[in-house]
Amino acid sequence: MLCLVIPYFVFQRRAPKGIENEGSQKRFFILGVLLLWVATDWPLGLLGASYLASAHMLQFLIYTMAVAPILLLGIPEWMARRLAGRMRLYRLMGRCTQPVVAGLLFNGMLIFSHSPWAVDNLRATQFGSFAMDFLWLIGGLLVWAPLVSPIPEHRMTSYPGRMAYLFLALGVIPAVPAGFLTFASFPLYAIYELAPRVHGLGATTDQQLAGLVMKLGGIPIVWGTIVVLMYRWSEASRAESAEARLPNPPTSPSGELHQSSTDPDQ
Amino acid sequence: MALDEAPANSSSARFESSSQSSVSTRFAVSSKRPYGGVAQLVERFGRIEEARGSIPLTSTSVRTAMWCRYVLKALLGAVVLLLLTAGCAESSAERLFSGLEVDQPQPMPDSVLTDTEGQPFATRADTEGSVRLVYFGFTSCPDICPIHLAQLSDVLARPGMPPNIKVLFVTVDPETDTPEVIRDFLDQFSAEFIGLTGTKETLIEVQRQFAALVASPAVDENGEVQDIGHDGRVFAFAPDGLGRTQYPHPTRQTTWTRDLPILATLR
Repeated sequence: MLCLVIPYFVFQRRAPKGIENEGSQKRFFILGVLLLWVATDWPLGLLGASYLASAHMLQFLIYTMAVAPILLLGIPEWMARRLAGRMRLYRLMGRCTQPVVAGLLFNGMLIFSHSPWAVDNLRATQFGSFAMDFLWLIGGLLVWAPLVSPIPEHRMTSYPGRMAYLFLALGVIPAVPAGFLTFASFPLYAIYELAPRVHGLGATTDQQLAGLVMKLGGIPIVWGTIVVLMYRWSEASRAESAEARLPNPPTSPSGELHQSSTDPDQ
Repeated sequence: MALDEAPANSSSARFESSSQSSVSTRFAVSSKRPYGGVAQLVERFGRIEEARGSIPLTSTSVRTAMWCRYVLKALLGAVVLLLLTAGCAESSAERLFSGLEVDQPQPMPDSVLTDTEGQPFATRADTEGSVRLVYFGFTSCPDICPIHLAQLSDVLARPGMPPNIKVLFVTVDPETDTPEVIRDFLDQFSAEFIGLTGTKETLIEVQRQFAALVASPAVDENGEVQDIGHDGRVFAFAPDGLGRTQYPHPTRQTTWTRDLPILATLR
C-alpha cells in the first residue's frame, strides 16, 4: 500500500510547472488505495486467502472492477507519462492496452487465477497469495486502460467500440468460469473445501455463491459504465448535429476558412 | 530419361546446388539476425538438419516439412505419454476404494460406550447392517474434527447417497465433552451423527481396539491442556462388519462420494 501512496505524493510535489494537480484525481487515488486496503486486509483478505471461495471472488471483483479503474482515474496524465518514460514502458503499455490484447490478457489471467491448480497452490502460501492479488491488480489496470487510461492515445476513441469492448472483455468471458463454479457438483478448490466452515456455510454452497458473485457482481459496474457511455455518445451526437445545423462560417475570397487566433498550430 | 542424366535446371540439381551454397552462406546470414525469434529458431533447426545432411534449408516448403516432422515427433511423444498415463490410471482403478485400503480387514470391535442421551451404546450391535464411520476427536478441536464432520455432513446430504450410513463420533476428551456438549457440537453438522463418551480408561481401551493412535494431551508449563493430539483417520466399516478402509485428514468430498456407495454394498 505504501509502495503506491508514497511515490504518488512524492510525484505530486514534483509536478511540472504550470500544471495544477486536480483535487478530484487525488480523491480518486485515495479512494482506490482505501478499496485496495479493504480487499487485502482483515477480514476479507483472511477469509479470501484461506476460508471462503466467495470471499476470494469478492476480492477479485474489488481489485479488478473497483480498485483498478479508480486508481487509473486518480493518476494525472503527466505522471503517467513520466512513469512510463522512466521505466521505459511506454511502448509496452501502448501494445498491452490495445483492446484485443488487453481483453485477452485479462481473461487469460482470470482463467489462470481461478483454476483449481493456481488457487490451491498460490493460496497455500503468503507469497503466492500476494502474487495472486498483484496479478489481479495488474489485470484490472490492463483491462480498464483502453477506457480510462491517463494517457489519451492509449484510450479507445469510439463510443460503440468502448461499449462492445466492455461487454466482451468484462461481461461475457468471465461468465464462463462463473458458470463452472455455479454448476459444479463438487467443490473445485481443495483449499476452501478443507477449511473450517465459516458460519456453517458448506463448501459447495460457498462455491456456488462465489460463481454468482463472479457472474452478477460485475454487472452493475459493466452495465452502469455502458449506460454512461451511451449517454455521452448521444450527447456527443446531439452536439455534432447541432454544430452541423449552424450556418457555414464565412470563407475568404480565395475559399479558405478563416482561422481563429486560438488555433493550437499557430 | 535416366535420373543420373537429369538436366542442370531440373529440380534435383537445384536442390543440390542450393544445399551446397546454403552450407557456406547460411551462418553469415544468421549472425546478422535478420529475422524475428521464430524465424531464427526455424533456421537453427534447419542448420541442425543441414549438418546431418538430410535437409538443405532452401525454401518455405522445406521448412514447413521440417516443422511437420518435429510436430509429428512431439505428437508421437504425447501419445506415448498418454498411453503410459492411461496404464497407470488403469492400475489405480483396480483398487476398490479411494481411501486407504486395509490389507487384512478386521471385524469391528463391539465396544459399549454412552451416547448423548446417556444410554449405553454398542458400537457394532447397535449399528448392524449399516456403514459405520468411526472417528475419535474432541469438541474444542479447531480444525481437523470440524472439517471431517462438515465434509461428511455435506456428502451424506447429497442425493443418491445410501441411507444406511452411521457416523460415530467418539470423544477423546471426556472431562470437557459431556453428552450435552457433544450433542450441541454434532448438531452443528447433523442431528443424525451419534456422539459417544465413556470413562477415560474405557476410551483409551476403545482407541486401542480400533487400532487408532491413542490421544495424548499437550500440556503447557502451568499444567493446562493446550491441545490434544489424536488420530485424524475416519475408520470405515462395511455392513458386513469388516474395517475395509480408512480416511485420513484431508479427504475430499469426491473421495467420500465415490467410496461410500461401494462400502454400503459389502454385506
